[in-house]
Order: sequence, then structure tokens, then C-alpha cells
Amino acid sequence: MKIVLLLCFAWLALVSVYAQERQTRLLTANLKDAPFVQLVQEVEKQTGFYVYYAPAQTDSLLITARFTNSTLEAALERALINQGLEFAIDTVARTVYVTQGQKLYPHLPEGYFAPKRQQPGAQQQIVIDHFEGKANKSWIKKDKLYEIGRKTHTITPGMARLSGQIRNAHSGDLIIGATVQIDEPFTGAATDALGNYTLVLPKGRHTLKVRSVGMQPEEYQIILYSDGQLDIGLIDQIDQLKAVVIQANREANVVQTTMGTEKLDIRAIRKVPTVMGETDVLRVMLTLPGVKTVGEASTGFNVRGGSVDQNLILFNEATVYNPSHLFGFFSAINSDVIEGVELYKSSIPAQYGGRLSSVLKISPRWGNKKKVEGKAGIGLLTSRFTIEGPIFKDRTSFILGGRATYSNWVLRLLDNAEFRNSSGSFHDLNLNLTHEIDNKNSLYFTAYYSQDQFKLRSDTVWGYNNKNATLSWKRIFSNKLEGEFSGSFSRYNYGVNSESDPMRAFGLSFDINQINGKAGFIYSLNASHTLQFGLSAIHYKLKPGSFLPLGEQSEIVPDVLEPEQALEHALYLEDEFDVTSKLTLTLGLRYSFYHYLGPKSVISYASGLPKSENSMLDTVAYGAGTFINTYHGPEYRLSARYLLSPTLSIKASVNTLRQYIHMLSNTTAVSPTDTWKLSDPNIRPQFGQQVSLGLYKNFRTGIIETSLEGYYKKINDYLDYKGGAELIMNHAIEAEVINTEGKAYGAEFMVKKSSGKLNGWLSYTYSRTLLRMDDPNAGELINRGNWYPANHDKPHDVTLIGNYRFSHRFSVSLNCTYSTGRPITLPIGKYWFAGSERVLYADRNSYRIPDYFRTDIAMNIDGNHNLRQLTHNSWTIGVYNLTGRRNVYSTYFVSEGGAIKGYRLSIFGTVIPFINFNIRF
Amino acid sequence: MKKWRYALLLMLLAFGVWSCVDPYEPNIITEARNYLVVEGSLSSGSPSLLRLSRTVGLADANAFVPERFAQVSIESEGGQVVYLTGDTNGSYTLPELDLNPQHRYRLRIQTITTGEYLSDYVTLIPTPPIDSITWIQNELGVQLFVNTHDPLDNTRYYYWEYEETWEVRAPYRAEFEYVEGIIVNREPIPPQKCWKQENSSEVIIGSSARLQRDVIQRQPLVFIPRTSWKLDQRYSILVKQHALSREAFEYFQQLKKNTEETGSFFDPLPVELRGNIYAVSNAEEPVIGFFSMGTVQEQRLYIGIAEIPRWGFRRACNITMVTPDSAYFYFGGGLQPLYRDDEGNFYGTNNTDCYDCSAKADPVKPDFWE
Repeated sequence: MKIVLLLCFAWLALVSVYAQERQTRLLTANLKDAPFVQLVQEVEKQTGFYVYYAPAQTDSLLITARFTNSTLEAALERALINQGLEFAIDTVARTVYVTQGQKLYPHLPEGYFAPKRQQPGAQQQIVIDHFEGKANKSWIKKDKLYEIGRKTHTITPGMARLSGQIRNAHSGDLIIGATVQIDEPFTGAATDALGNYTLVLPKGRHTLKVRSVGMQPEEYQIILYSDGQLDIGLIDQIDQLKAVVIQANREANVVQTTMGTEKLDIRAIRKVPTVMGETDVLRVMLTLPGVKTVGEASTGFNVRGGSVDQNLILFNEATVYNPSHLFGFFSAINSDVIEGVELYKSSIPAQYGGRLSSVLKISPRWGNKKKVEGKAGIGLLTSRFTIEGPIFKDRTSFILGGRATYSNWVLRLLDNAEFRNSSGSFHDLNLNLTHEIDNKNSLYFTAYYSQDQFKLRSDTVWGYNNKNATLSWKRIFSNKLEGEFSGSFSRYNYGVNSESDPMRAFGLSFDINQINGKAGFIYSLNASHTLQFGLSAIHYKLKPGSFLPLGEQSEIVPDVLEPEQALEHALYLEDEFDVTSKLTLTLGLRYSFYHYLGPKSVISYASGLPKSENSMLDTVAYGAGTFINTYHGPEYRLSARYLLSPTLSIKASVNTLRQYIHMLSNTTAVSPTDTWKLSDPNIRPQFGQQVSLGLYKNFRTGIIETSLEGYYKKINDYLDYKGGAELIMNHAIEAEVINTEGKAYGAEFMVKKSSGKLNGWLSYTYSRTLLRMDDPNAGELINRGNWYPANHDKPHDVTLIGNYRFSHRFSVSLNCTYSTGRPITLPIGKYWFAGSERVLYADRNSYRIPDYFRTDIAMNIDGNHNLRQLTHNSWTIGVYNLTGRRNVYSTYFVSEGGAIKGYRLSIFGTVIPFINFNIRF
Repeated sequence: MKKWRYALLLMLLAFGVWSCVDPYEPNIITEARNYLVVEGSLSSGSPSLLRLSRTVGLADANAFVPERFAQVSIESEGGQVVYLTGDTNGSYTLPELDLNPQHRYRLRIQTITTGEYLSDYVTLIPTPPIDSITWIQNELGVQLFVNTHDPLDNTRYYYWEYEETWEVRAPYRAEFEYVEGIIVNREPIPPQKCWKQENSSEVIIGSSARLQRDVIQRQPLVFIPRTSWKLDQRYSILVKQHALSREAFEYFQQLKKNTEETGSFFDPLPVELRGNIYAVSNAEEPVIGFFSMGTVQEQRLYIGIAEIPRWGFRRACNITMVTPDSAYFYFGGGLQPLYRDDEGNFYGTNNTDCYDCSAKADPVKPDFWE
């Protein structure tokens, strides 16, 4: 039926074009200051068309125009230009209407006006917004021509701006990072945080391709007359098994200016097998090139040689200080309430700052605005539950998710006193709310709470928790300017309570509080400039530690470290500048300020001497609210992309960053009791610079993406520690840290196949991270002032993630990873000196633990896909560490009968099967 | 349901089994290290002692391996050479020697196995006298301090060693002995008065670098816990004070941080040690120790039991009365007879320390003991 209709249209169009050719005569005239009537006479005489006009509007006009063998349309266009007159030609009635102000539409086939650009068979319709109501009939769009802008008879050459918003047609959610592009000339853009896109295209006829993660790709036929808007609704991939594993937008890889950006959709994340089958955002990040961790059960990750605290982890603009549960076994982010994650490794947008290495942006998922839905997952140790739905249909929605472990009661069942007396538990809760005030204003709210508690054998209880909340308001001021205002707070605290000995019972606690405010704007200045600008402020308040007696019998002397506070604020401006259709520059500047605030007592040290107890000069007490000291400086964020061909691009970027808050940790693995420290007069902010260069090539229309990136990084005032540094409850912590110099360089190679039965990625990273401490006046030299490898320096890293879909209901995933062992400092001997036996250590980090290798496999079995079924369920069954290799996590040395013996600890040193059951309703 | 629970249990057991610990002996650890260790300093105006030893592998039970038969000498920039005399314990000594404070000296060690070692040239640093050794008693014990100052404000960095000596008293006189079923007079009667000596086992350093004047006040030396036997009768401490260069001070500070504790994975990072002694043939070869030169100042302090009220040390001497007819039962079972009362009953104890101090200390009175 569809085809028949199409054929009819095509035939009709052909016939009418033929007829028009025959009926049109060409016009030749030479008018100089001629009255309008003379033009009318020439037209009527030469073409036979009858001209309707209002003499009152035209009798004072003088026309100057010269045309030879012009079409009627071109002639009129030229003659009436700048006269404030509109005209319309009706070829059927052979008439011309000349009007002032308002244009008449004779509703004729479009082809007459632009026969060369017109494709036969196109059905025409003036559509600005087809989103309401028609969205689900996606097939219509393929045959539909969208006219955009103020329609003119002829399309004047030149460029016009097309902008609009892309939403999920089903849930109404804005879609971020969807790409909109045309092939000829090759131009593309991606939607921003508000789902808006802007493209500057030559006027005329185009095929607009729209793609987004997990959505059905669409193509739109458009005619662009002038600047205009096209809002687009995309539909979910109905068959989720067809979802590609990694769905960084195919063309985006080549087209976008940002480098070193990894975007993972939650569905891609779910396919990667993880320990216990629990979908884990952070663990999947670790499979990407340039992202590493010191060990399996360690909190945090290292990006391109940066330390763990150099990553800014944002959950809807709120900082997450500890992203892990259970000492790093699970990530603290519930995968059911997030949409995806984006990791910026090299080009860091100017709107973010405050950390040196990367920004990990976790985007919350917003609840379904149409109907209530739920999801539950049951694993062996953890369970999760999510419910979402509208509060006011189509305007307000919620999503509430929670996870918990129930290992505690199981521990009680075991016939082993040690197990029974231990417990480990965690839970987290998320609430995301969204409310659309009108089509220009939306409100978003997220709240997050996570709690961990361990009781390890004794009566010592460790606990930590993250709390944060964000409220943001997005407003579209005009189709050129939109803004987002957000406020958030983040809190992280931990505590250790020990009651094993009532005399020495204590409670140790640490607390960090952060309040953020941010205003960001996106302004589309013109065809080639899109500006982002704004300002942000963070107020920090840290309680670096309190050590208090617990219970009446305790004889512990209370010790409380003085709280510290600081204000960090920044202004930023970023211009995305399309120089030519091939060359795009992103020019960003961020200027950040940092004030260390009173009340606080600050110790001053003798200059020229290493900071230590022995060089303390004085302690100065500053009053509340005083600016103790200020650091400030510019941060440059520059990147460029040049398209060598539509599927091959080269990119370069230069970034500088400043970091004012530091995590203090001198243990190899990050432990939850690591403290954070603000920069102060004695601890300078860290400063990092990175240059990177990359080559991106897509094959087979973007199904296979390849990239090769190289980088070189320099870090000043990287914090390292003096040997034997004591970081907890230290009143003069600056005497324990040293500012070292760091450099990191490496190359990352990745091949990704994002769709098809077989999909996945293979990445190889070569990277080095070296530190140097060579200033004898700042403290003891490390390794005689030579460069030495950082704790997370693992030169070679290969990861393979593969997925094979046997059928729509059964797929198998494989995860294979190899990396060089991380460096360690080994004791290599002992000796007798000054009355004691002492241990001799090798140079810092001069040895490595054995290389790491692991293979995991998982099977995903889905229940049937009947859409009308009330619940849909799936099983994930798999094996973690298939080869059972005892990968070394840590080594340690103990003195046994006068001899010192070495041991190595493997955390997942065996084959670990797992099973998970998921249900959706 | 039952099956489900069983599966859970199985999984959980796996959780406990996942982690495992294996012995770890990378080649580097099994290789016996053989680096030279140089301890001591050269003194002007008093005898000097340098102790040479070798580092050993971690698994070795014996931590002290002396470096014997080395040729150790001190050379001045002016070409003066003085040889030290070694013994089989790796101790190399020099009798009292006056060094020229205007000259710089260095240490040369010619070992028989690993070649020659040289130190940097160092200058002689005079040490100001110790002002006093003081102590306070609190409920936990006695803390001793050293106080000193340099009127010229030059010294700034100090190193202390000490020798503790204390009198040990066995409260009972053991007149008898149980030998093969009969009680006989003990000959000789075990000593009841001994002296115990111990050297400092910590690196004690201090600095006045941050002070206007070069004054060290109440530098902690040693803490004697309330229940220690050191203060049972009379206690004495000899404190030796050495002035250090800043480099030497920093070296000892680092050495101090690398204590005898070994690294577990939550332990802090160890420190790089780099002194001023180098192997001539291989500058990269680690040599432990820092050669320095100066004068030594000493001071001795005595603390008597009368000065410290309520001392908490009690020697557990349970005295058992043994009637003559039970002698076989008790004394045959290990009880030691001490004395006899008028009625012929014996009194005995199980604790050797109660009648013989020589088991843990030396009955020979030290020369200096007043």
C-alpha cells in the first residue's frame, strides 16, 4: 500500500514538472527607474501570466532590474528585491500575486520552485514539530519532507542554522549526546546537556541522520530555508538485545572535538561480567584504555597516570568522594538509577575543574513520565530494587532505587566463630525527581546516600558514608541561550570505633562537607560559534579527625584536629568555533581562585629547611572568615579537530588544571580511612598540564571504530609522602608530605565494534607514570632524586571485552585483561645498627608484583520478549577469574623467629561462579 | 527454599575461600644482600669506635655479620693517615687522638671481599657539653631527658647514645642446696648483688634548627615503665652527646623512620637511605651509615630508689615453708631451699631471681659505680 502511494506521488510529480517546463516562458527586460506597471506589462506580455497587485501599494515604486532569459521567478525575485513586496506564482491558474507584507501561498507543487533540488515523490508539509502524537509512527518520517525556516521561493545560497531538541519519544526524557549529521557536506553536532543541538548547514535539501545510544537511528528529509528549529523524538530500540555493547556515538568518535572522552551507556556496562554478577560502573571503566587500578579490591581508579584523588566523580554535579562499597569490591553507584557515564581523560570541558586527571560524569536516569515501572535484581550477596513513574503525568517523574547486602544473616549461619563475629554490610539509596515547569523550564533533583559498615573479627567497627543532593534548574531563555543553575551538597565521613579493650576504647572520625553552586550557560552566538560560560563556587569544610574515648572506662586522651575550610570558585568561557566544515576548535579558559579560610592555626616553617618538627617556627591563629591565603590561576582547555575525510580525523588538545584538595594516602591500596587535605600556606595546589594527539578512523560506516591517542602530562606539586609518614590524626601533616614533580606519558589504542552479533572492544595501553623529588631543601630525596615509578605505574595493559549474541535471548560475554604488575618497594635485607635490627629497603617502587591476568565469562539468558507480558526476567550466570590465577593484590613481610618472610595476598585467587536474577515489571 | 539457602551458603563459603595467602619470595629477597654497614663516629679527644658489619638476607636468623679483616683508616686532606685496629667482632678502634679542627678528614675502608670504600670529607664538629640530665616521675614511670645548649648557637643538630646500668638485688640468701635427696650447705652462696647494663637501641636525635638560640631542653632519652626492674635499687645512665652536621642529622632521621618494623600493605612507605660513604668501584652500591667526626660529651646520672616513691616493680618471691619430713616432696619437685628457721623448717622458692642475681645480670661491680 505504501509503495503504491509512493509511486502515485512520483508519477504525479513527474507529470507536473513536465507540464511546468512547457508552460514557462523566459523573461527578458531592461528596466531603469520604471514604474511597477511597466514590469507588470512585461510579465503579462512575455509569459502570459496574469499579475494581481494592489495599485495603492505599488504606484509609488520605481523598478530597476535587468534580466535576460530569466525564469519568471528569478526575474520577480530580482525586481522586487528590497521593495518590501512578496510574490506568489500559481502555475495552474497562470497568475502572479504581488502583495505587501503578507505572502500568499497558492499551494502548488514544490518542485516548480526548485526543480533541481527537488526529489520526485516527496510529500510536502510545513512541519516544525512533529513530536507530539506522531512520534511512534517512525516510518512516516522517512518519506516526509520537513521544511524549516521562513519559506522562500528560491533558496538563496548561504548557510542557515538548524537547532532543536531531541527527546525520547516514549518517556519524554531529553537525550544527551545524540548526534545529528548530514553527509554532504559532512557536518554534525551532538546534543548538549539539555538535549539541544545546533547545526549550521547550507540552505537547501538535506538528509539529516539522527543517532543516539540505545535509540533507533532516524533519517529526516529536510529543506532548510533559513534559521529554524526541528525537535525530534527518538524511539527506544524495541528489542534490547539488539543494543550494541558500547554505544559511544559512532560518528561522534571522529567528529567531536573533545579527545579522550569515553562514554558508556548503562546497557553496555551491563554486558561486562563482573564479580558476583553485580553491574559495576567503575569496574567497566577500568576496561577502557588509560584507566587503571592498583588492585582488584581497591577504591578508585587512576586515569592516565593520575592518582586516585585526581578524578572528579560527579553524580549530577555533586562530588562523590568514595565511589566504592566494601573496600572496593562493589562500586557505590547503583546501575539501575543511572543513564550512563562519561569519562573525560584529556579534553576536560572548561566548566569542570578542581581535579587534575579526569572528570567522571555519572548521569542520573530520570523516571518514566508515562507509566509506573519497576525492576528488581537478586544476587547472591546483594539485591536491588527500583521503582519509577510519573507523579504528574508527562511533567513530573520519580525514580527510587536501593541496594543492600544481606550477607550478615548468612554469616550467622556459618559454624565458625570468626565468621559469626564478623560482618560487612552496605546499602545505598537514590531518589531522582524531575519536573517540567513548562517547555522552557525544568527542575531536576537527585539525592544519594550510601553507607558501609564492617566489623572485622574483633570489636572494631569501620564505617563510612556518602551523602549528596543536587537541585538544578534548566531554563531555555531563547533558542540561542540556555542556562542551568544548580546547587548541591556532598558529605563524606568515616569512623572507626574500637571497643575491644574498654580502657583503650576509642572512636576515630573524619568528615568532609562540600557545598557547590554553579550557573552555566550555553549561547549559540552564530553559525560558527557556540559559547559556554558560567561560574561556580565550592565551599569546603573538613573535620580532619577526632580521636575520642569511648565509654566511661576509656583512658584515651581526646584529640581533635582543628577543622579547616576553604572557598574555591571559578569563571569559565568556552567557545566551540567551527573554522571550516573540517576544522573545529574548542577554546576554553577557566580561571580558578582558592581561598583558605579561618578560623585555623597555621604552623610556619623555617624557609630553606625541610618541613619537619625541627623546622617549625611559629603557629599563627587566624580568625573566622579571614582569608589565610589565596591561590589562583588560569586553566587552558584547548582542542582542535581536523577532518581528513568523513571517517578519519586528527585531534589535538592542550589542557591545564589545578587541584586544591588532596587525598592523603601513603598506603598502596586506598583504604577508607584515607584523609583529605585542603591546600594551605604549606601545601601548594597541584598543577597539571597535558598535551595529547589522536587519530580516529571509522570503518564500515562507523560499526568499527579505531582510535590511537598519545599524551604527555606534567604534574607539579604532586603529593608524595616521606617515609614513615603518619597521616591520621596528625597536627602538622604538611611535615609528612612532599611536593614532587610528576610526568606521565603513554599511548592508547582501541578497536571497537559496536554492533552486530559479535561486538566488544580491544584496548591496549602503554603508559608510564614517573615521579621525582630532587629538592633537598624540601625534604629527603627519594631514590637519590631520580625519576621513580608511581604506585600505579603499569606500563602494559591489554583488555578485551567481547560479546556474542547467539539468539535474541541468549548471549555470552567475555572479559580478558592483562597488565604489568604494579611497583612495590621491597625489603631486601636487614642489618644491625644503633642497637637494633633494621630492615633494608630497595629503592622506592623499584620492584614489581607479578603480572596480572584474568578472564571472566558470563551468560545472559533472557525470558521471552512478549511485550504484553507483565514481568520480564533474565538470568546472568558466570564465572569470575575463569583461569583461577592467583593474582597478587599485595605483598607483606612479617618477622617469624628472627627471619623475615614474605607473603603475597590474592583477593580473588580462585574461580568464582556467580548467578543473578533480574526482573522488570 | 532449602536448595536456595544451600546455594547461598556455598557461595558465601566461596567468599571466604576466595582470598588466599601464598609465600612470596621474589629472587631479590632470597638473594643474600651483602652491603657494608658502618656505625660509629670518629672522636677527637677520646677513643673512637667504628663497627663494620654486613647486611644479611631477610630470612637469615643471624642479623649481625661483622666485617672482619678490613683495613680502616682516616685520611686528612693534608695527607695524614691514621689506621684503626680491628677485632673479630667487626669493631675498629682508635685510641684517644687529637684531630686538627682545621682539617677535613675522610674514612677509607679496604675490605677483603667487596673492594674499597671512601667517605666524603667531613669537618670536625665540636660538641658542647651536656647541661644536665633530668627526669620526672609520673604515674606511668620515669622519663629521662637531656638538656644542652651551645652558647655560640652553632651546633644545632645532636645525636645521643646512652648506657644504662642498674643494680639488681636478689632478696634472699640461699644458704642451702638440695642435692640427691639431702639438704646441704650451698657453696658458694649465689651473688645477691649484680649490675645489669644495656645500651640504647634507638636513634635519638634532636635539633634546635627552628629555635632562635641553640638550646635543647628536655629531649626525651628513655622512659622507664613503672614496673621495670631498672629502678628496683639504684639506676645510672651515661649519656653521650655528639654534634652532627645537618646532612648527618637528616640521614639518622631517615634511618629512624625505617625502624625494625617490616612492611605490611597498610604500612607507610620506607625511606631511601643514602649516606656519605661510597664504594669506590660502584657509586650505586648502597652503603649504610654516615661518617661523621666530632668530640663527645658525656654525663652520668644516678637515681636511687629513695628518690622514686611508689615504684611498681615487685619481684615475685613466694616463699614456701617446708617441714623437714616434706623436703623430698618439695625440694625434689624443684623448689630451692633458702634458709632454715629455729624449728628446723626450711624455706624455699621457685624463682631463681630471688636468691641469685647472676642469672640475669653481672655480679662484677662496674668500675665507675659509686
